[in-house]
Amino acid sequence: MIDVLSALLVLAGVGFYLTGSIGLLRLPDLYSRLHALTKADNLGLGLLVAGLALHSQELLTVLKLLLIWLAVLAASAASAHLIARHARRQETTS
Amino acid sequence: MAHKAALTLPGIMARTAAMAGIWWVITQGRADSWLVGAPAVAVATLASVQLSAHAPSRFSLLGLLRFLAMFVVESVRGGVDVARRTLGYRLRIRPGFRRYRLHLRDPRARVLLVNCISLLPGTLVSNLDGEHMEVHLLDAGEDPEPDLRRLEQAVAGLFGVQAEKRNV
Repeated sequence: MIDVLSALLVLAGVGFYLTGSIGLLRLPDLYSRLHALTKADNLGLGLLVAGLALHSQELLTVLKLLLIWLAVLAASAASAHLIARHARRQETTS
Repeated sequence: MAHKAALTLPGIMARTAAMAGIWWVITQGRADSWLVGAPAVAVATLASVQLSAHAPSRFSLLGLLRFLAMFVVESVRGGVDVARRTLGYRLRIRPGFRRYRLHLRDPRARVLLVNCISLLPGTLVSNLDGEHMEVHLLDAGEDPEPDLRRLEQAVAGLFGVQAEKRNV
């Protein structure tokens, strides 16, 4: 039962990663693409981490997975903001 | 405003404990790793104290729980929203920019708010200048202001600070 649930979570996570990549390819401009990447990847990794945590059920491993999720979130939010800001500044000054 | 205050001893000890905790988790509790870990924790604590010498704020546990609940719900909403817009036969987007006034003054609260806004459905902070932020919207026809205000309140609650009332 837990295995099934954990597999479903991982699959859903992969689905959102796929969505993020499709968005990256289909969306027309830099800002919209950043939307797809930040949001879909956050949820994708979150589901992946939830699935793996359920699978391992070892406290230290679960904590480590959570730490990885937080680190990736911080990095992706910060880099998305920096990319958007840089693009925006070039647009408005040139 | 950000007033610098000397960090108290308990504050430094709390940070050291937090850094040691992170190392413990990363190394999965291996005892022989502390040969490298102890110096790393010391340096990380030093860096953390150097980078943020703000007075410790009243950190609220209830605020944290409320913030986390909102964070999870909004993450799911944001992910589903972006999937809905991009996976259809036709893209359902109308991108545009808007400016909003920031109601938070605490610099750490601001950083957290700006980073979390990218998680809300259809919003991404593209620029910050002083009291205003410029937000990129996937659908400029929808007004995300109520969502932004709710998030601002949640972040304010987490840091135990007040988001100033609207006086535009």
